[in-house]
Amino acid sequence: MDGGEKVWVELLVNGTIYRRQIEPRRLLVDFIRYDAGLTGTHLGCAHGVCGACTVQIDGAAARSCLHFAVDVQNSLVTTVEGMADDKHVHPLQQAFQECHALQCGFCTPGFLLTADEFLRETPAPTLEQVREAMSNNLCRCTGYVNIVKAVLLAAERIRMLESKNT
Amino acid sequence: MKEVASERILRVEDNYLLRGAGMFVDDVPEPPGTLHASFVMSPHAAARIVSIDARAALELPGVQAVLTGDDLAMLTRPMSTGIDLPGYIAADRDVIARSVVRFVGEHVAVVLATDKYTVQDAIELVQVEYEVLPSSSTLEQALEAGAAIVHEHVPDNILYRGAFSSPDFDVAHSCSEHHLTESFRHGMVAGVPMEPRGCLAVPERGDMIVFYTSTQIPHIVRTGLAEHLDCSESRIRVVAPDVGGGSARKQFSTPKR
Amino acid sequence: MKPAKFEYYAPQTLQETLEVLAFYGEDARILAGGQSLVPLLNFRIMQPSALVSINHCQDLHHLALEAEDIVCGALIRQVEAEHSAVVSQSCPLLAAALPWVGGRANRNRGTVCGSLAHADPLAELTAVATALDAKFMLASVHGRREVLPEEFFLGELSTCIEPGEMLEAVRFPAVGADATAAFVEVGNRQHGFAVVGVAAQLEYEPDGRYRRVRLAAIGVGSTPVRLEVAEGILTDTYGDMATVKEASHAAAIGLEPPGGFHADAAYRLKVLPVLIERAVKQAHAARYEQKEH
Repeated sequence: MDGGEKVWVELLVNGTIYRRQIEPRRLLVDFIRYDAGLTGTHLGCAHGVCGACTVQIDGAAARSCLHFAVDVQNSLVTTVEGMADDKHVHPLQQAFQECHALQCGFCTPGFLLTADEFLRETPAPTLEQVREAMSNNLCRCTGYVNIVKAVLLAAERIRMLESKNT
Repeated sequence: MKEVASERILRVEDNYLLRGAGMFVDDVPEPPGTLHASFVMSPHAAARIVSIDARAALELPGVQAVLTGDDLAMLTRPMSTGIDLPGYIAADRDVIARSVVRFVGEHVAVVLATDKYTVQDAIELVQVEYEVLPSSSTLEQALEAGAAIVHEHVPDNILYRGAFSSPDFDVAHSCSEHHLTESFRHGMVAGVPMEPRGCLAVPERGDMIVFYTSTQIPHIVRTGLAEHLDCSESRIRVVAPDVGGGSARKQFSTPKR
Repeated sequence: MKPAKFEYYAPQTLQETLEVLAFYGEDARILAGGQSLVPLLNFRIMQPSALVSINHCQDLHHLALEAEDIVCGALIRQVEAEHSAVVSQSCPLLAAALPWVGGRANRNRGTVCGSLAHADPLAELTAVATALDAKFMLASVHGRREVLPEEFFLGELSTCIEPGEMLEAVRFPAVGADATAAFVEVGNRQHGFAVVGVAAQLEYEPDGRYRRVRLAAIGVGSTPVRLEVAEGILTDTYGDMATVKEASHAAAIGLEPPGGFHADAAYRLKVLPVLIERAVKQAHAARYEQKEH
């Protein structure tokens, strides 16, 4: 089939601009992984069900396997690599480690980006709210219990940090 | 020495896994020139492969090769169901089907191309002519008189027949008031780890291969590869990087790999 | 698992969008949220020649009360409608159904109109549109037309949208502040596909009598089913237990649900009355919770 030739795109990912020449059909997850070299975002099912590919587009959780890189220029894409720097780790990452909320780690980045959006919107969630919010990402190792604990622990710590800052 | 028993110890791998710095098989850096493989699959449950025309696929820029079962037979030995069970009839399977296909999805050709997208374009261009044959797709069909034979050397389609009984069954049976006779069936159970299976084979030092694969059994994979490639194990190094769950699904060597 | 090639367009206005659609006819698909479309592209089940992204088309990003309707433009994300005060006040059924439409990541990007245009027979919003007699605004370079749900939904994944046309907006009738609604469904998982779902909206006389009842179901037909018999039984009553049960059971009569991977027809017929009862009770209870505040 003709058409669909490569085009230049510029994507802003974690504060860095990546300029690449790609086909319009290049999925966002593939751009992130291969064109930007950020392999923390994982591809599980390739049809938006498992959540392993979850990133944020302008702060909103999104399935990167269901977007085309060319279509999200002019947005800020955040991946797991953008959640921590050399000095600081995100409270969710800290809590996940302390609560043993990961085993193989394949689903984990997707959960982190999902939970981050959730806690920004619902800083003092109930147990049920956390369970519901985490239910759209698939994890086959942990049984979710520790993930829920980790999110609740992170919520508490984030609230403490915020109250110290104000 | 620090006492660690009964202490809560944090895992060392969480630090890099949580930062997205894990290395699963698809994260392993690919050397320049790495080809991507994918497969043309049979849409039929039973068929004879009449012909495979890969010309259109080969013309697509980026497509390096289309290999058939016959091509691969020159490089590999067939796989065998190596189950050590008295009475079990082993069956062989070519890594890529050669003359017949025995199930929907069986591989009939492997396409090698420079990237994941092109390889799938190429698959659609491979033209396979099949002579569709009668199939035995359920247990009942396979056991009927005159059923389509799946493996020539197993004319009644029964690969294994087994029975057991508890000790003193007859005594217990004659003493019981209620007797229940039933047939049970269950579907094939499949573990579904979050990370799909995959592998990366990198030639090294001439005729050696480094084989990265998402596996729970790297040593067995090496042995299996050596058998199928008919070479010494010392030529093969298997690396299991971070593995995204096994669920016992990564304890098998499959023809695909 | 990678899509076939396509030409990509990102028009900035509705007019540009329609011109591209006119050029490609049936070979183009609209890309909005992509939550339903892109899986089909990834599996190569669909291979359009062109993808026309409306994600940069501000003309289509509007959600407002206009006279008697809430007008929801094609670019309104499900999460925007979910958080909209206009929607919660004037279309409680849409507000009630939206949390069931996939997970947060899907609702962040998926659009209200996109879900309707995709017409998956299990899409919750199709039951909402059907229950409410929503109006579908279709546009092409040749002009505009407006259709009702029974004309819009033709079958599984099939609508009356012609090549070159797009669903520009949907109008949901606005109701008064005391109307209440509920959406209930059964399915494998909270955010998974529904097996059967019921949408219920109730409008009341001041004394609590049901002035108007709107009911529709997904999962009992290849298109959403308006439950008119049940509506008829419940209208002008106070929603007492016996009437609700009568209406629920009457609803299943004459229906021929498809079998399906997750449930057979018999199961669907069994579950439908239960869900109708639950939905009506929930909507009813919401009025009394309202009154307490």
